[in-house]
Amino acid sequence: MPLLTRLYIKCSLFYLGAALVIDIGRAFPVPGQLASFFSRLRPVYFHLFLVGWVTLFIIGVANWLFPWASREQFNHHPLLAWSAFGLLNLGLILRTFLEPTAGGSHRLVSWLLVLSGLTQWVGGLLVIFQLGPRLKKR
Amino acid sequence: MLYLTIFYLTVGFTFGSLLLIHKAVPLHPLLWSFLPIHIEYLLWGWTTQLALAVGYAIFPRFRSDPVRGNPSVYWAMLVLFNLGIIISGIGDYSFVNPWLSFSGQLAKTIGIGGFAVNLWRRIRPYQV
Repeated sequence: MPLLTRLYIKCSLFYLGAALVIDIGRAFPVPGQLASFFSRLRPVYFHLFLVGWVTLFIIGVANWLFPWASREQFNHHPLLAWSAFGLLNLGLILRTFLEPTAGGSHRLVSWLLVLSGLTQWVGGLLVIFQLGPRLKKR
Repeated sequence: MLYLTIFYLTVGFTFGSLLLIHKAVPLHPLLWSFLPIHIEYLLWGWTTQLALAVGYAIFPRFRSDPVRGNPSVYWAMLVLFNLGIIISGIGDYSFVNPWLSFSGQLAKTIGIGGFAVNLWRRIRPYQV
């Protein structure tokens, strides 16, 4: 299992754990500050689950198992692959911490949220650019 | 595990389709009460369980028995995980005690967490 795949899968399991923590926090049956805090994390929960857990796990396994068309193609774009990994994670971590405070008066938070959206988008495009050519017959 | 994921997919998609039809042609007002089960079954029962099952099947194995790790632990976690999904699926209904719902979430968390921790040890390069 290549290093990048291992990192993708370990990160995805970490995000799965984070999503579980929020899920169980939302179900905590005692009303109060804790319950209202977790109820505000609903979008964060869905992003940690769908982007952090499901998407990163799928990309990690695809990166490992998709066929290489040729020997030259193997490790052809390592920088691209690592950039995609970094951008996807950076974007997700930024939005995890900033999304609950979105809509406030802090301009910096708003711009960082824009940055997180862009980094995730570019990261996703890089994944497609990197994995797409491997969808061929061996 | 894969059989279970197909069960959750079938039930989850059925409720989802009914809800979509209900939006266009109102069938019964109680149909919206299926939404939490629809979400719970598809997110956790289908997607998460399928990913963990694939990981269990294809991640590098150990050189000695048990090659995939302790099967008893996996079985225990699988039972906890699925009990948790079923209990927390019905947990949003008002007639369900909130603590029962919480214990379902707890069972699910322990089950998935335990399963993931066991898988974690297999995320490594192949042994040569």
